[in-house]
Order: sequence, then structure tokens, then C-alpha cells
Amino acid sequence: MLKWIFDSIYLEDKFLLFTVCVVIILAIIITTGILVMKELRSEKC
Amino acid sequence: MSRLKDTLTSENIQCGYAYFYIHFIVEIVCFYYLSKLSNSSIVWLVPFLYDAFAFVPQSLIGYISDKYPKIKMSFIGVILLLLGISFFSFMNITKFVSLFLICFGNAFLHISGAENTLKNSHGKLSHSAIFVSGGSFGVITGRLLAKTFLSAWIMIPLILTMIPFILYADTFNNKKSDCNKFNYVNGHINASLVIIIAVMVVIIRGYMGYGIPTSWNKTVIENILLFSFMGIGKALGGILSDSFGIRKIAILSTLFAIPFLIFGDNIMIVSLIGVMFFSMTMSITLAILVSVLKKTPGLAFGLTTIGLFLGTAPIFFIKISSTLNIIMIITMSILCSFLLGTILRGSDSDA
Repeated sequence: MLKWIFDSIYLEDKFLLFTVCVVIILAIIITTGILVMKELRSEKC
Repeated sequence: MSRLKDTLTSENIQCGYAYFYIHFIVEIVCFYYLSKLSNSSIVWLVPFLYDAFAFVPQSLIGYISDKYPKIKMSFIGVILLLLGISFFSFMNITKFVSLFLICFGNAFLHISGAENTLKNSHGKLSHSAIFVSGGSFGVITGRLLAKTFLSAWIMIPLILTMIPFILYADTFNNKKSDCNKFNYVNGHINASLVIIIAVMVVIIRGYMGYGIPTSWNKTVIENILLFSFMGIGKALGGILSDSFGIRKIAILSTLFAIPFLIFGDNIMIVSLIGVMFFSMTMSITLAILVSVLKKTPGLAFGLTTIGLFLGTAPIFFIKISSTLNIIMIITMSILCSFLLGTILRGSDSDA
């Protein structure tokens, strides 16, 4: 994964960079959703 | 008038003013850098990556900041910005390294501003609204500076001028966080639904922001006026909500914006008034999210920036006709007004 990220940066491959970017964004958004649900549960307690 | 005066001189409001300056400088640096890169062959990819990596990670950075408040996010942000500009100015390596450093520097400083202004506001919106408004003035200043003969290294002393302001804003942090005073949401509505609605309003606002018809905007002065009114609107959203009630301002600003935005395509002053009304909801959606995520204001702020990214991302790939654009502005504004009116409490927050 890291090699993929660094390759995309150093090779300046637009498609690879765009794909890496989309994958990372999705991962962050999903993680954020999980964190929000966790926080909502703790706010209720 | 006395209500407005009370709001503008309320306790800890200086923290908001300090972060207004910090936000102003951050955006100058970022948009100077982005404008310099816009001449390259990767013209569409750079703004997309910037929006993605400056906006989206703020939720995770915000969450870390909420859980570990001793970490100085502001200083991490300053260091990242300094590294980004230094790599861009003095080192011959790929521009994407400096781009990512600048994106993350921006994200860290935004989270620091959000945390400081929300925690020290005693449940008021003005502090964070004043902080947020600084960005609009920075965007246009950065773009204009990029067109001059100034070298990129000039940004380094500019970044360093933020340090005294960060230290000053940190002096307000001694007291306990008071985000518990954010109670703007109708208690009968499920918290998850409130979050979904608030993020949806931000997405709509982000999308509409790029679709506002502004055929009149052709000269530098007109561009400066557009961004200035955007900034004034963002600040006024918080200040007027504190003075006259958040629900009233949320509904009225969204509805009043419609005719001004539609009929202002060729008339500057009409359009500027519309842009000002349209920008007012920014701090209101943030206050809604903090009301349901009181323990994690950084995460709440991050949700608004994710919403902004999701709203602006389609413009890189989709172009719509002007007629459809006007229909969307009307329907989306009415929808936002209805949604905000539903989730916001009226009686308690109205002054």
C-alpha cells in the first residue's frame, strides 16, 4: 500500500494518484462514520 | 444594535479574532501555492487533491485533537506549511510532496482554530464564525499575490507571523471546555438523523457555492468584492445567530439568498447580497453538529469539511446548464431551509 502511494507521488502518474486519493478518502470517510457512531453511543451513556 | 455590540465584545471573542488572522494567512499560503501550480499540466488534479487532503482528513485530526488535547495541532500545522513552502521554493523534488505537506498543514491549523474557538465560546457561534470568515479574505489575497513578482519564500516570514497569534489564542485554553453549552438542536430528533441532515446541508451548500451565477465577475476588484462578501456573510451568520436566534437566521438567510442569487447574475450588488446571505449557514451547521457531538468538537468540524469536499467534488467532473443550475439553487435552498428549520430549536436559542 505504502509503495503504491509513494510510486504514485514520485512517478506523477495522474491515474494512479487519483485512484490512491479516492481509496484514502473512502477509508477516512468510513472511519469517520464509525467514530461518529461510537461517539453518539458514548454521548447517550 | 446593542445585541450586536454585546456579541462582538462577548467573552473570549479575542480568540476568534486571533484565529481570523491565522486562517487568513493559512489560506494566503495555500492559494498562493495552488495558483503557482495552476500553470502546470496537472491543472485539474491539483485542486482536486488539495480539496481531498486539506478537507477530508480533518475529521481524523479533529478526533485525535479531541482525545489528546495536549497535542499542539497549531504548531504541527505551522511546521508542515513551512516544510511545504520550503520544498516548493528550494528543493527540486516532485510538487506533490509539497502539495501534501501544505494540505496537511492547512488541515491541522483548521482543527486547531475550530477546537479553540468552539471550546472557548460558551456555546456562542460568533467565535467560530469569525475564525471561519478569515479564510475567504485569504483565498483572494493568495491568488492575487501569486500573480505578482513575489517569490514563494516570502510565504515563510508570513507563516511565522502566525506564531504570536497562536500563542495568544492558546492563553484562552486554561479553562475547561464548554461545548456542553451548545444546545441548538431539537431534542425530539434522533442525533444520527441530525448529523445526516447537517452534513447534507453542507454538501448542498458546497455544491451550490460553485454554481452561483456570477457573469458580472470579470475584474480583480469584482473578484475581491465577491470573496469579501463571502467572508462577511460567514462572520455575520454566527454574529446574527447569537444576537437574534439561530433558527430565525438559518431559515431567513437561506430563503432571502434565493432571489438575490438568481437575479444577480448580471448585477453585482444584488449578487453580492445573495452571496452574503448564502454564506451565513456555515457556522450554523457547525453549531448543529457540535450540539450532538459535544465531547468531540474537532470531529464535528471535520464532518463539515467532509461535507464541503463531497459538495465540491462533482464540479470537477460534471457541468450543468444554467437553467438547471437555477432550478437546483431554488429547490436546494428551500430544502435546506426546511431541514434547518426542522432540526433547530426555536424558543431557547432565540434572543
